[in-house]
Amino acid sequence: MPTEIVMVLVGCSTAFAVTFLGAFIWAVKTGQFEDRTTPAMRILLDDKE
Amino acid sequence: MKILRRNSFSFLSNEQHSIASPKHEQQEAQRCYHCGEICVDTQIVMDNHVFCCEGCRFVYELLRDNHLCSYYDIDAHPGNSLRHVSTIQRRSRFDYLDDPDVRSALLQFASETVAKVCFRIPHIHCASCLWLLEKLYKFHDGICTSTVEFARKEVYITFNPRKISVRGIVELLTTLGYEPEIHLDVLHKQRHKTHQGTAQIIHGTRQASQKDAEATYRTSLYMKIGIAGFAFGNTMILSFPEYLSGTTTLDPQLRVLFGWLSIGISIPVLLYSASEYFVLSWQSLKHWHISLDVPIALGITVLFVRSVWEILIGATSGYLDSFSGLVFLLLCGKLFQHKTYDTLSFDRDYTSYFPIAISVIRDGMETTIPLSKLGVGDRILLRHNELVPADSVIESSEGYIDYSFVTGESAPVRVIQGDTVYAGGRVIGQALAMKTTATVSQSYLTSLWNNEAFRKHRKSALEEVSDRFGAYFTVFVVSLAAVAWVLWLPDTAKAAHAATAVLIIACPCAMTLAAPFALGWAVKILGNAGFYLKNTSVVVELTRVNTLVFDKTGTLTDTAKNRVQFVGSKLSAQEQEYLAAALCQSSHPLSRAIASTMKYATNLMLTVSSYEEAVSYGFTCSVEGHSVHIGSAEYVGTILYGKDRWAAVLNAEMFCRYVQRRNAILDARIIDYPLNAFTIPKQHPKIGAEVHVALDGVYKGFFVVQPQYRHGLAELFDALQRRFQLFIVSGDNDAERENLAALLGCTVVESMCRMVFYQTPHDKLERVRELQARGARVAMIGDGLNDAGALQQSDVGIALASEHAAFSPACDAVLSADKLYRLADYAKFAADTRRVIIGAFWISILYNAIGLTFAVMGWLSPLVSAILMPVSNTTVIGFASGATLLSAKLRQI
Repeated sequence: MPTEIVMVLVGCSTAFAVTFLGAFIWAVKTGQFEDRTTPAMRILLDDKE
Repeated sequence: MKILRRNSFSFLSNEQHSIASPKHEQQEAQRCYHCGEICVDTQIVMDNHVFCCEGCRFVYELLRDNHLCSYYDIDAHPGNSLRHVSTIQRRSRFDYLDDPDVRSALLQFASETVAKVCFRIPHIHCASCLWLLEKLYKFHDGICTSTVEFARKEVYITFNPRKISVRGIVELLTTLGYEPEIHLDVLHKQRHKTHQGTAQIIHGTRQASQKDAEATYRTSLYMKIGIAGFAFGNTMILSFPEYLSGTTTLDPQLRVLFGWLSIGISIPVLLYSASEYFVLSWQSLKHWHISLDVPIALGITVLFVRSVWEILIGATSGYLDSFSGLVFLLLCGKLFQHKTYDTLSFDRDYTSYFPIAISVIRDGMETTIPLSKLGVGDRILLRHNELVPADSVIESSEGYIDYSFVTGESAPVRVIQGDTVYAGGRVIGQALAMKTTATVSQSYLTSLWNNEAFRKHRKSALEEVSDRFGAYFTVFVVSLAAVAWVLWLPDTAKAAHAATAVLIIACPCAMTLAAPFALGWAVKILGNAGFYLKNTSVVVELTRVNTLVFDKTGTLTDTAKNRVQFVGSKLSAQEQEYLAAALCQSSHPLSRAIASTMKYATNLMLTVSSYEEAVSYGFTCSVEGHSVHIGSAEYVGTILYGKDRWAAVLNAEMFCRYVQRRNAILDARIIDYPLNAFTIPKQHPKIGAEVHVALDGVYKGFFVVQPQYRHGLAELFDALQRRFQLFIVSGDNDAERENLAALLGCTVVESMCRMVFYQTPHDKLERVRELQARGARVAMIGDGLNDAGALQQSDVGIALASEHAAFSPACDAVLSADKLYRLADYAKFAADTRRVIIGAFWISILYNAIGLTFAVMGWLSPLVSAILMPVSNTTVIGFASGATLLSAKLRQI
């Protein structure tokens, strides 16, 4: 019995992990790692129109 | 021209106040609201803000009218000073942007109503810049959006080509003080695109594609690291139960499952993440050469194969967590290395030095065309200070060309009609018309650069060390594995176990991880401190240096800050213009120093003729028909008053001037001077070089040029002397010998063998070579162009630059001029970095010794490996980074 539960848990965790890996690959492919300085600065600028 | 007259010589008319009390004025100095420079005069005020020049005030007004004054709130004084920019540069400067070829080369995307363009703007430096440049749409409704990429100093602009042209955008950016850098390579790229197959691969194109390749490589590196990291974490978790409980209690079904999962997760790491190690080591083996990648590839392969084997036979859970952890950390080191290179913008090539557009005479009309369109047989017109873009034949009657950029020889060469001039020469004085005989890309200069004549041929110190290390390491590890095998021999299983364990556990991490991290941090820290190194191995090279050779003019002294004073009768604006035009003709450092204080001087379009120079005495020419004599007292005096009388007349003249302007001009040393003695001029203490001037045969007075030494030199020399031998080579006369001796802290007699004067650029090179022949490792510190030869010859050539954009093909490092006084600290820091690497090396030897003992004894288990390998790698990285950063902090860099 515990073996089966562990098997299921391993399956779940692997699926989760693969999802996050997929998210990472997507982030790299969409260029989110290309510029990592500007957005950090931009968010601090106020826009008083 | 009217604007010019008003602004250009303000320094001369204001001279009386500014020279009278320079110290007093500095205390009260106000900083320009726009750019933060100290305002020379405080006349330009708007809304209670002071500006240093009209240009800065104009930008402020523009921003205020567009309600963009937050620009000044985000960062103080964010603007680019416009004072030193000649505002009356030729209007036609951006003409070439209207050329359809250029335009389409610049545009990344174009349709009827939407176009995209990207510019590199070197001035981007703070949050205000980012803010303003993303608000460009407020200035013109043709601009849709603008996005800044801060780290690369680039701005991406989307605009409507029907409403605003590329030229309009460039002009807008330039008005705001953000002039984009537009290089030839974009034009080359275009040419490449249109003539594909004609093998027109030019340096520029190669570089552009290199940049793209670099970007794709970085993206793939992130991907590789992500995958390796993912595998690292997951295989570690899967191996955990076994580490905790041992092999006995774990359910066999789970063991099999975990084993297979680990293998599945690790396969992409082997095939994708670690692929470049295999490729690189294969390449090096093909050339019968063992690089550092070979032992890594060997270790990784053995690690993987043995893990899979052990999992399949069910012996252990394998070493796959160590495997992916190793790959992960190695790749992190690579990424760090690449990020360091990225921040160094040392990729300038000769194309950045060339003008992008050129004046061509066609059908008697002067038009501007892009340089890449220049063909053979075109007639071109080059003005003072412009570079010859291609080999040409002179059509004007005579003129002067300065080849210092190519040959390092700074004396200008006289050319007459029919002479051939070579690309890379610079026109001095009169504008020259010439006919091109070669195209730009085929010319002598291009081949010079393409032949890498300006690059140092020897291998970098780091490569050398790491290659040697790679070879020794591989030999050592392989023989140790063989020894382990032999030791266990009757028992083949045990022997294989021990031998593979040796290959697994031995890690050249000191070289692969410690050096990139320590050197990367060092280069980064030095870069932030204004010392830009060409690459990381310059740090290593710097620690080997034991002799420093300084150039004087422009290096120890600050030519821009020369105190130039005029002593004599007041000059009218007209007369000043004549003088400026005449001074521009001469390439003598003093003429240049005086001319540089006359703003806009180089743009004057006055006709100068019959230029005659008595080298190092003076020159005579005629400006708009007025004769001008400029030179030493003897030169000018002899012309005016004859050989016998000049001394007497001039002495009296000078004496009068000194008395007249006594309080206004002279510094403390002169004021103490006994004014009642009549022998004064003969012995008056010289406060600097004097340049006498006569206009239309009338003596007008003289300029006093006082060299200003850079700040902190005495302390710098004092600190440097403990570690280095110091020498000074100077192209000038020895008038400054005493001052320099005082700076060096030695007597004049002692200084004889440490200072040489009257050196041509070639002599400087020879001096460096002599020192090297005596076994010294020389670092030359010079100002870039005139010292190109010596910089090239030296082991480390450091070019001093007052702006980062300065370009010297021969140097290994660029030192920001205002940081010269910290050079001793930088040198010590480089030495520290080297010590850190050696320290990390010993740490890794310790770990390797422990690990190899385990391996040879046959005790290596997945658990031991899983602990030992990541721990050793991370401590090495941690030590290398931490110690380097700590040293920087202690040295306050």
